[in-house]
Amino acid sequence: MSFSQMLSDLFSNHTMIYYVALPLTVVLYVAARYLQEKSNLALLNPLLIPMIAIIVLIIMTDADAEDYQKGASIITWLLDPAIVALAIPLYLKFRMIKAQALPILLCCTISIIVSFLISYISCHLLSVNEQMIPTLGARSITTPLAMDVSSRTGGIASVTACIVVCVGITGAMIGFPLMKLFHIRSAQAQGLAMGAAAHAVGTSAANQEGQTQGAYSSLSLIVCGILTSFLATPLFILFRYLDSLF
Amino acid sequence: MSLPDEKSQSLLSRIFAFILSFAILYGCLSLGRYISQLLPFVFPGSIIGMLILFLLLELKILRMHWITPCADVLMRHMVFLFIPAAVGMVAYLNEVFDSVMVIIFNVLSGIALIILIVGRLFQHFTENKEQREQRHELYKRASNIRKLKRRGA
Repeated sequence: MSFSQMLSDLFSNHTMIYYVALPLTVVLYVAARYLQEKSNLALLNPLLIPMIAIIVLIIMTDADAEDYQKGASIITWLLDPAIVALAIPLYLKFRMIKAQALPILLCCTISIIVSFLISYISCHLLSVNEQMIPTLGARSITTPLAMDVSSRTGGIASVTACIVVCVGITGAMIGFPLMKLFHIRSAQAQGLAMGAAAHAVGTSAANQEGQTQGAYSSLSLIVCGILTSFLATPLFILFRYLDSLF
Repeated sequence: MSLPDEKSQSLLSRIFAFILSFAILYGCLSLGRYISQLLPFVFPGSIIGMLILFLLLELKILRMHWITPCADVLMRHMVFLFIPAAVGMVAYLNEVFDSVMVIIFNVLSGIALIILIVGRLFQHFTENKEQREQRHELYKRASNIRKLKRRGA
């Protein structure tokens, strides 16, 4: 949404949720962040808690979710500049990254294949309708790319967008505890895994962990995104072919 | 153009630096969006903008301290910026509930497997023998401490 649209929107008729959207979101975020710093619990995630609180509020008061999003559109408007700003950690660590181009490419390709394989196997095991496979396949990349890949391969783009958000939140929450469990200590590997598993939301968590993690996470966010949009169609053809064999 | 040292900056020049850094970020973003419209395939303008900013930094056209005032704030609170998009999920709750088991299974196993495979593989590729031994030593020590603690409790 452009800025002029936002201004003209301000003077048209809206329900209550439109006007409280921005202050409510800010207060909930600050509160969740404060609580997390005090208690150090992964569950008090500053994205999860405000999200659940606002969804519950919207359902309870029967408010229009679209009105909330319009009221908070300035926040969403700032998201794209923030993604542009991810170039900074990438620039600071570029010398390290350049020397490891091949392992990075290999790891990202494997992560994409794993991602599609899981969606394929799980849909077959739980025998849900065929359309869920492409809907789930691209869940680990950033939203606009995931929606494009999903609709190109025959999935439902809006559901994909929703799942992408779920993946991001879950990844940001359980990502670093999982890495502790799996004995992944190298900051570079942590960053790369985070970006590959949980796209931009994971990257924002990786940035809080450290600069190296942030740099590698933004890198794998880009590489996985690009590779997925190239590899999705051939991978699906390959899977269909393998499927017809058995 | 050069900005004065951060400590000697007055409030006014700090506000100016903030606005300038936001303008640079937004400029890169607008250019990225324009380019993404010209492309024959779908590619997000924000990521093209990020690559543009990276190129400009790498070619030494832009200096780091021109961008950092706003970029630091945006990156530190980037999670906050995802909240409205996450709330937008509410519109698709019905479709999601229809196949909730598959989705939960996919989300969890996808994250766990990707982190396990990518993390371990990349760690294996990038660390040398010494680092690996050091890491194993650390884990042994940590698990010993945990065992002792359990026995103590």
